[in-house]
Amino acid sequence: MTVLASAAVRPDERGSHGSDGGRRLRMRRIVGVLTALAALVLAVAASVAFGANPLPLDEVWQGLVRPDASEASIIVWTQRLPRTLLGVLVGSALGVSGALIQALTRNPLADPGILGVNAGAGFAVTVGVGVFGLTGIRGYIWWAFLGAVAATVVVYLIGAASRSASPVTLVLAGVALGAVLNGVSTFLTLIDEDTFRQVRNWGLGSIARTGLDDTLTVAPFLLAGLLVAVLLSGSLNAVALGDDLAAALGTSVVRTRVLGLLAVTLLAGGATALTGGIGFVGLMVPHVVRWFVGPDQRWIIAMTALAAPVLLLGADVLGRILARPGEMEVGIVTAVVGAPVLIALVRRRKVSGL
Amino acid sequence: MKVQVSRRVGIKMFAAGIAVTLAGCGTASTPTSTGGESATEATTSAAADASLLPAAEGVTRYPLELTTQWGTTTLTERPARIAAVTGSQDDAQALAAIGVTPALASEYTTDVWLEQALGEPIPDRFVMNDGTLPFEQIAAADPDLIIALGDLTDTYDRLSSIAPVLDSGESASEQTRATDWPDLLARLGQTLDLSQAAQTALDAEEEFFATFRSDHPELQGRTLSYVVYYGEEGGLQYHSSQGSAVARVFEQMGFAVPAGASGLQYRQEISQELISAIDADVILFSDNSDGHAATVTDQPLFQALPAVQDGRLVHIVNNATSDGRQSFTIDGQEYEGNVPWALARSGPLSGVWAAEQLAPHIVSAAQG
Repeated sequence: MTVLASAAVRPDERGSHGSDGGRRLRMRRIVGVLTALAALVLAVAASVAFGANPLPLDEVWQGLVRPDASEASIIVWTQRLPRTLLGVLVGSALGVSGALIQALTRNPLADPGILGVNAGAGFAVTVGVGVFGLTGIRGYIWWAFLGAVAATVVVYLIGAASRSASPVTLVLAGVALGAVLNGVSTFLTLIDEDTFRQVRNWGLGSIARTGLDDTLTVAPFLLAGLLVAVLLSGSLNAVALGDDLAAALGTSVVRTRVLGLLAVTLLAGGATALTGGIGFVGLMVPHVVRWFVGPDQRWIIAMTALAAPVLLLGADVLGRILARPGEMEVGIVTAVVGAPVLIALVRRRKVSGL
Repeated sequence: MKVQVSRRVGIKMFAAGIAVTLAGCGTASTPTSTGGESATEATTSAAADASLLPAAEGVTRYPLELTTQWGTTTLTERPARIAAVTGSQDDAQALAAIGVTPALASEYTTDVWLEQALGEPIPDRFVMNDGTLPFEQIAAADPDLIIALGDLTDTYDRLSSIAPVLDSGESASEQTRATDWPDLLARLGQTLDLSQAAQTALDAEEEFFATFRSDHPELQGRTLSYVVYYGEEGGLQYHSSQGSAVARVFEQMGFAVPAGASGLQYRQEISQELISAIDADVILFSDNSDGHAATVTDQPLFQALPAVQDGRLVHIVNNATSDGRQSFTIDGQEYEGNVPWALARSGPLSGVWAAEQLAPHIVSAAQG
């Protein structure tokens, strides 16, 4: 209700600011992009520099530029760099899929989970372990991916089958299917805790356990999803005005929605398959980004792709340092770190509609 | 009635006196008959359960107050039916070491060392269900003493309503309890009037390791790390940390904890980046992950460990499954029993048994 109200007020606000406001927005966007880029570079550097092993920075640098058999070099090349690459890819994928789903459903509280992506992946893995004797987290990837895809397709079919294929029916279908799948997964897990202990652990979400080869296998799907998202961002601006107005503006709502869901499935499904599902990134980053760049989806998606890995890598670096000599899963840290930031921003700024 | 009882007591007293005298002959040069009142009282109650525990030594006087931080109960006479209700079976192990068969004990796995020490099966076993004690089964076992180790905050009242309760004393925490088994042994000895048996069990453990040390002077002062990989769930954990029960076993063999691992806690998960902390003269690696050990052992950082490069690694595959199969594999050879479980236990029997199983492999690995 509040969101609708603020969205309705928005055009007047903008109108009253006139070209002055437009110039300010442009400045804010440029500053925002530069800040996000700088933060991303810093986050990548921190992810390579800091880890569970408190290596001196000069050793890390030597190990990075001169790969040899030293401990520092092995750590940097076999642990930190693959992990950082995965963090950047998965962070972008989760953030952009969140931005997409928020735009498609015109719901600021939407995240990839709302379409049942995580529930579908978790269910498929649970079935894979329980029925097909899947063992080892590395065997989960394709099951998780297929589960995520299947869940999204089913959600879309349920949502589209109803007479009014509105964003609301889509969200409801996703939430309902997610609840059913989660319920069945929990039921199976409770029956035989020993067998499913690994599944539960997988669901915590980590970028530490995925090998470089797996990352590279799934990367094309993530990159394809990002490409579709970027190409689609113009049409999403029209969809944000409502289905009727979008159609009047010459945008095919159905095509945009199908392609959008395809991109969400590729991005969130791939990211969940690689990590086990990391929450909060897809919800929070598009929100924060929107406050800086305004409601233009092209800017939101581009900025989210840059900013989301910053949150993910930052949280991961913290998780490595805080729990020495062990590590904390990034899926736990993102929410703990992200939530206070989001609350602080909510209190400081007027929440921007879609 | 009264007359009858006293006659029976008289006969039992006579029998007990002979038993004590014979036992004394075997071990000491001056046998002393210490039957006395305590033995008398013990025999009256132990009538049907005499086979569960050895004859009293006649040192402990009953009634005996058992004080815990949760309350106090009183043993009016020497107990005979003892329920060992700790899931880990550490209490059953301590009992077995002094020749006492518990009337009831947990059945987590089949412990070879328990069977060897007792020579007969424990009459009644229970299975821990989600960490909940089977109070009804405990009551049904009709114990006259309950041994319960660890934190009894939630269980003491119910247990003490069934029978007097002996706890692990000062060392109620899991961590200190593990290394305080000599203390537990002494407490059991005192409570069951088997102090001498407790001392004998302690001496036997010491002697086993003293023999090992003198047989293997080349191992003295060298370092050893024992790590267990539990798959993605638990990760790679360091077990032989300073002050742990398992470190005590290796210390008794003559090994020290390597300097790099000195800061690690018992069962602390080791991140892949910090794997060099486990390097030692000998590394014992136990694979408890259902065949996913390669996740760790294929890591370049693991391969780069000097101990791994020089072949000073003992790779144990734990084949134990929940359906009761107990075996482990080293170098393709399968052995009976559950060595990682024995090493995770604490007591006079499990450590010795584990050391016996591992000694040949450790000795040959130490040579590189």
